[in-house]
Amino acid sequence: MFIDMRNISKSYDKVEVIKDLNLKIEDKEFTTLLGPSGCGKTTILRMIAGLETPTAGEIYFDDKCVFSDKEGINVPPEKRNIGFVFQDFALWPHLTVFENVAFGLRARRDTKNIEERVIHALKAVRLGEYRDRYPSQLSGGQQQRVGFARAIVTRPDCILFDEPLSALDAILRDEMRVEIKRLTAELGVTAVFVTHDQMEAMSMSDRIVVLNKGAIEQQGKPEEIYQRPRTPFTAKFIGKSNWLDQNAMFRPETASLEKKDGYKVYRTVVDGVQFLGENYQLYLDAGGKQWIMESPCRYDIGSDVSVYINEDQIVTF
Amino acid sequence: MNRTTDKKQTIVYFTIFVILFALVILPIIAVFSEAVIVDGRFDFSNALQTIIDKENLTTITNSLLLGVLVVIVSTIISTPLALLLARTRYARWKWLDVVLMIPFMTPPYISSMGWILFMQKRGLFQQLFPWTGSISESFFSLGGLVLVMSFHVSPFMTTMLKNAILNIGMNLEESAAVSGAGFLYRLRRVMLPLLTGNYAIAMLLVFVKTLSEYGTPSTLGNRIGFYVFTTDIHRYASTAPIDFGKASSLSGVLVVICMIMWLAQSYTTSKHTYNLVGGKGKKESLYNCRRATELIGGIYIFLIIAVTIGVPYFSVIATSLIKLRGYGLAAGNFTFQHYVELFTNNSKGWEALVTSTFLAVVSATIASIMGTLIVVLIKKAGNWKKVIEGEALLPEMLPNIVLVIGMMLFWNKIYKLLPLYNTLGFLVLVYVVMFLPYSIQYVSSAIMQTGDSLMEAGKVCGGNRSYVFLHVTLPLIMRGVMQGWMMIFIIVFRELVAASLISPPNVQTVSTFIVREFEQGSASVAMAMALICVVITTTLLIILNNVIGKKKY
Repeated sequence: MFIDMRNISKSYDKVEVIKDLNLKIEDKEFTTLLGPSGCGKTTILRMIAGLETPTAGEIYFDDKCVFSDKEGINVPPEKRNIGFVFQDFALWPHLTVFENVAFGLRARRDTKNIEERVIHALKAVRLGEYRDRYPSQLSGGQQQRVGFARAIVTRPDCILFDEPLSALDAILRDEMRVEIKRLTAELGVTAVFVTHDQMEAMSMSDRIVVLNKGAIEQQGKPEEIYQRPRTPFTAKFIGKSNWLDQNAMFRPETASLEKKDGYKVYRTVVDGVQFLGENYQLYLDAGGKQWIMESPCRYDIGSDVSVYINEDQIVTF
Repeated sequence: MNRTTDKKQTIVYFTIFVILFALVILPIIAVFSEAVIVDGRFDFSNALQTIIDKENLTTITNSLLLGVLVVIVSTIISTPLALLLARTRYARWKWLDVVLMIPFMTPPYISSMGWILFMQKRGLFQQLFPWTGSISESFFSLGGLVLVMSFHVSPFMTTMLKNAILNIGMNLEESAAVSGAGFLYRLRRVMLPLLTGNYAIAMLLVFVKTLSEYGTPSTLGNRIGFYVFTTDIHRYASTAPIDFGKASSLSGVLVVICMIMWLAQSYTTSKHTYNLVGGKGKKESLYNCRRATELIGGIYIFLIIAVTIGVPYFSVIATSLIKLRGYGLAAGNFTFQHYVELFTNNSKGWEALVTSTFLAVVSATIASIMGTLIVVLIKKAGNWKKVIEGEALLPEMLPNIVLVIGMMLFWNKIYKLLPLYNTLGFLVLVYVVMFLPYSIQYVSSAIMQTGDSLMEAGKVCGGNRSYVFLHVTLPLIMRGVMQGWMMIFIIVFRELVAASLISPPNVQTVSTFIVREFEQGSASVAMAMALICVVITTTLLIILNNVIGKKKY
């Protein structure tokens, strides 16, 4: 299923948070909405789900209109047939794991083979044995997996993820990233994933939509966004960037601390050093600008360092 | 929502608004119009005359004086208690919290009767300590009244202050200590400044409570000839010559004073309290006290319990068991006969119990259903929500007696339209309006604790409005609903003001039964009923804490 948002605007108390947004989410792709907090990404997701009502515009699921302010169409969330994974899991504390997952089927009176289907969904997230537990008896990661099972059990055309990993610790987060990617690929559904974590976005997405202040800054494959950012905002928000001036930057790994032919040399002074385990991160003073470079060895603060930059890799705006 | 649902919502909000307007606002308007409209014309002179009438001026000054004195005394009682319960080893004795709440949970008219029976001429005190002569009779004075009322409200103040102190967190004090501040310096420069707002709020609330209180002034106050707002309003509204104009004028003044206090209270809350809740869970944090300090603290707590609980309950129980009052506390002069009497030859007692149970069950159920529906329906109502909540919570800010007078006036006026006045149904209605705020507050806080996402998850999973309400919202807030129900049951079961003003002829409730028997000299029967009443409500309260109070999830 593809999702098409046309000329969508949304205001809260006259403050416009989304302004004339046009966004198409492709069928069976994993699309990530990435941006700083307050950029409107969660609002967009909730408008797709029907949990928020746009002030203006239209939303199509394939060819079916689910929202249109002109036509007065607003399909309620329970009729949109989507899965939604919540940031705070939103598991019902008074229901068992089984009943949490079965809820969507029961609500739709679709109770044929319910046992089998719920167990199937629970097995898909490897929680088959936890069916009779209550949410409070599960760890954070397990709770998130129940939330995921609940979202897939009704075989939705599309699953929406609202920062689902931000409540988990770093190790679980890595694990769940792989798992979510695996499951959505297996199910062959359209997935829309909201996050402010660029690593999450890069590692999981087929396509990233970078948002800033309610508008799209850039969209494309993760590699495209990283290597060829189109605006200074994207360059700064995603990855590390060293700036030559206001409109030119390079990624640290494209430069070198060793002399290379054809590279342009810049003199810098070491401002600070951080040991990161696999290497050292240097904070360099490049004529008033702060650059970051990685280095295999420690430098003394105040020492001079030459940075060699491949001019082909400089991105200008 | 698109426009049609918008419209539907607005109709729902408006309907709730109108119902509450009729139930709450119109009676208040009735009070004021009764005061200032004479023969169909505005006439402020009557109201003014009532107010500046010498007798009523005394009433007003009496009330204010009583309020101020009770605030002072209860602050003096509560401050050390709050510190002891928050920062010393006694903080670990959780049962103390419960025990110390008993005076607040005891109906004031019952504990006043206990005190009267204890201190009066040839009362229990004189029987126990005959050598003291008539010294105990000096209790029948303003001082005694202030003490009894302070004993009643100080648990409320203690709890507020204790929670405020716990909120401060030890780290602020510890950082002061590390900076070299001693205990008294810390108290003066850290604790007290942070607590000023809480003190002000607690004092204002105690003041309002004292002014609105009817039970103690009507038993002890009337006996010593110390008349206040509530007793005078009650007298004008119930004893011949009945004068609703005067009752309304006094009610008006009382309402204005209370509203000013509430405004001051909410202003203080917004301006002078600090947001001290940090991200980290607070660890238990106690002072290292010297043994002697702890011992003195322990003695203080014991004394408070002995005086505020021991005395009234001792005299209620003893009186209910004494065979012949003339013989007093003597071996062989004890009997259960008064309890038996309640249920046998005095069928009125049994009837009163049935009536009160009926009133409590019905009012609590209606109020809980209404409260739940209102809270759930107006959850997303924006400005409507503020208005409707304001209406629904207003009865809590009004002295009960004023609300009762207002509803009497209003429902009397529309008697031809709706002949509810003078029936048990009217009493139910008054209780529903009076205690709707309890239900709303319990349910609101339950709903606040359940995040929006739980309901949203229900919707995206395919549940429609009623399905989500029945399967998600209601189970999650049921605890709050039940807590509200129990609180309302307990309070209605022994409520005095409304029962004494608007019970239909020949219908007695537990409270009016107790008061009447007490006034007619059957103190033992009255106290037997009082004890049964307290036992029933306390049992329910324990159930409330243990069964419903436990969080299952």
